[in-house]
Amino acid sequence: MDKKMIRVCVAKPGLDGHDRGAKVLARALKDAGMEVIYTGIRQTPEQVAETCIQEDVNCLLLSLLSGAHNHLFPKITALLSEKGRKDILVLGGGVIPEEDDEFLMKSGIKRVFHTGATTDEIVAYIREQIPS
Amino acid sequence: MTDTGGKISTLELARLITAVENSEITVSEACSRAGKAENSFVIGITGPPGVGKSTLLNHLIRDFRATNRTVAVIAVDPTSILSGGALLGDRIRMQTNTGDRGVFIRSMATRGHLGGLTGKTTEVLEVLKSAGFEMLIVETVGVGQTEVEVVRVADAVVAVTSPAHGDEIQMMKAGIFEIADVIVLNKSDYKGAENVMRDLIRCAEGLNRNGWSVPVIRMIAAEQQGITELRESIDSFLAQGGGSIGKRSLKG
Ligand SMILES: Nc1nc2c(ncn2[C@@H]2O[C@H](COP(=O)(O)OP(=O)(O)O)[C@@H](O)[C@H]2O)c(=O)[nH]1
Ligand SMILES: [Mg+2]
Repeated sequence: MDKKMIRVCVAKPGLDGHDRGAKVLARALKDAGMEVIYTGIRQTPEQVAETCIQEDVNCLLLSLLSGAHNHLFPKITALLSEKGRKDILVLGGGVIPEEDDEFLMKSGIKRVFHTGATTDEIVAYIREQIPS
Repeated sequence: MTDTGGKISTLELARLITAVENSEITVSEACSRAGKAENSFVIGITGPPGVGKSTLLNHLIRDFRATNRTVAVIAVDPTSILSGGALLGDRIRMQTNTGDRGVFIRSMATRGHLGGLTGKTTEVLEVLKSAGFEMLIVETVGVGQTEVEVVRVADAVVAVTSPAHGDEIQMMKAGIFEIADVIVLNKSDYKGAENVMRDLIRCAEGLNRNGWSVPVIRMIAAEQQGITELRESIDSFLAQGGGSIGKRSLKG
């Protein structure tokens, strides 16, 4: 590989079992030339963090519909910091009210993509943040 | 630290693998940083997509751990020719070993390499060995004759099929079954498993060589049935000399 490969983990922490959105996104990132590690549903924060470490990803996309984002996302960013990977670009998506953005961004989520954000926007943002 | 007696942390190991994969560092440099190799074996698990390889592996990892061996897995999936990207989904079925530092799992994309492996599989295996892992498992998609490359890196090859993969079974007979040391019929809960089992046993008889009879293991990976039998078959194949039996005289 002559250019740096972008490796993204798409994870669904928490208890909601709907992963259509996350799968569509994972496929879009793949079609944009990225290597996407998809973890499946119902991940604990520990599982998500361990996957990110072992897979040495540059970016983590957390998708959540259940409303537990304020509880789970900061747990995950804390675990990543603790394990030495504060540098990972962590993004949030799914069903997240805008008023929670500020809290999430203070907790280490670089940006939150709300309902209606297109996969193109997400791809473009990752590319801009992780130059290859 | 990884729980392998190796000297580097999981984080460092993960980064070393990336560096090797991207040719930013030589293998010997990476290995000397990783530590000192233990006695290790490489096991290839191959078969068509959806046959249950990752599900099986999830339980096999636990069985190896229960018999006091550390385990590293390389799960290979194809890179899209069109985009250069890849969807690596094997971890979906391999989540029960979280928190166990004697287990390390890495997904790798083929990045244009043909034959079922990635161009860096051998190198990454060397790094994992140096980090002290004992059982190294490579999961690859394999059906026909072009996907048999796993035999070149593995001490034991396990070919997995299922009653739901009838069309592929015919291709596997002239493909990956020829390099198999153990055959698994997964999804034995499916209708028609009896007939497929009989067919596979007949096929396996033609594969016996140098005193090793290729076993056919009836498995329901989703219900953890047949896992210990598989582990014991792999162990006894390796105990009899593993890769030195027969198949390493590959043609071509
Ligand atoms: N009925 C049945 N389904 C299984 C069995 N083993 C795995 N599966 C399912 O088969 C699908 C593919 O499994 P996976 O391990 O991802 O296959 P791989 O592509 O070969 O790695 C999943 O939905 C599994 O739950 C089994 O023994 N019986
Ligand atoms: Mg798999």
